[in-house]
Amino acid sequence: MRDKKTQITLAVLFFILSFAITMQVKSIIKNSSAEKSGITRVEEAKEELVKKDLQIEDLKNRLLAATNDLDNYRKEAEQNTDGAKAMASELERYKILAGLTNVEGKGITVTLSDSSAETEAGKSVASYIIHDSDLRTIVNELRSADAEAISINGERLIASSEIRCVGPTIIINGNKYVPPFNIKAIGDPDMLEAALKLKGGIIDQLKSLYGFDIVISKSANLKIEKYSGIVSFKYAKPAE
Amino acid sequence: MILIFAIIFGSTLALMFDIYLPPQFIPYAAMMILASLDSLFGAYTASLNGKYNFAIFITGFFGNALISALLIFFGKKVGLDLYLAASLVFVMRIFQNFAISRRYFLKRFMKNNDNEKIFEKIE
Repeated sequence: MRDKKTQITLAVLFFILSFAITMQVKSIIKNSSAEKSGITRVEEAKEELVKKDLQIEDLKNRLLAATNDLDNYRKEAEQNTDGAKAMASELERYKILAGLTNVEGKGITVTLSDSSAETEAGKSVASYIIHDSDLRTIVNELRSADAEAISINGERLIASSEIRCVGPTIIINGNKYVPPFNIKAIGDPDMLEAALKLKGGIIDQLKSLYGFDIVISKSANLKIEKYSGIVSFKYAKPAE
Repeated sequence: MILIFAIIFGSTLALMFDIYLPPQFIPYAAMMILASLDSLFGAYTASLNGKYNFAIFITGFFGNALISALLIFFGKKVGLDLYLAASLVFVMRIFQNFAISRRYFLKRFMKNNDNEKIFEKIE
């Protein structure tokens, strides 16, 4: 036990062991505390502040635009012309809102595929495929970040669009789709991305818990097709 | 002396680099560490009894670590928490080895103090 060879081997083994133990403890501490560190909270608060500033700016601009519109209508009325031009631009805005016209602009693309991670003991296999609820949550998140137009696999989402699970496929606007899902959203790319990548948010959950393959890419010029179906109302009529 | 130096060197080296184990490797690493600790204790006990063998120690040190890692991998595939069994065995053996070396030292201590009779009671 006391000869030199044994001493050196023991030293090497102790070195390996202490290295491994320290590494292990370090990794575990990092994993458990990464999400709770104060730095991320400060970052989030900063982001929040920037968002609020942008919102205020946006609201001011809208107020200005609305006031201008009002002025224009008044002038039109005063001059007793038909106001066709103003009406046309108004119509264009409603068409964008309703999803009845192709739109383009800055935005982000989110691509989701089913998880390729192996199923862990105690977790259901069903948790590793994309559900309609996941898509709905993402769409909701995008809308809350002021997305102005959203499409999934080329299917424009309008006021009456459904996202519903049917067997292994998901029905959107009455058409069946399978993964991968390609969600396009027009809006402020930074804001949309930040909304999705929120710590503990939907993307974070899907990625860290079940290892979904999710790619988010910003785009300066995104094109979203208009709603391809027919909008008709059987029951709803404008009320007096 | 050289052993203490090795320990300090190993942990400082691990602390120095900004590398972390991916979360999915943590159970494997933990099991390998436990296996190595077990071999170390085993070798120490064996050396007290004069049964220490270098080859047995070295193969145990790495072989146990490897097999326990393989067991976890297999357990994950078949959905059985085999790491529980492996850690149970290792911890049990560590305790056993501790008990053996404890008896060894107690025996020596008692002999020094000429308390053969008390020792017999312990035995």
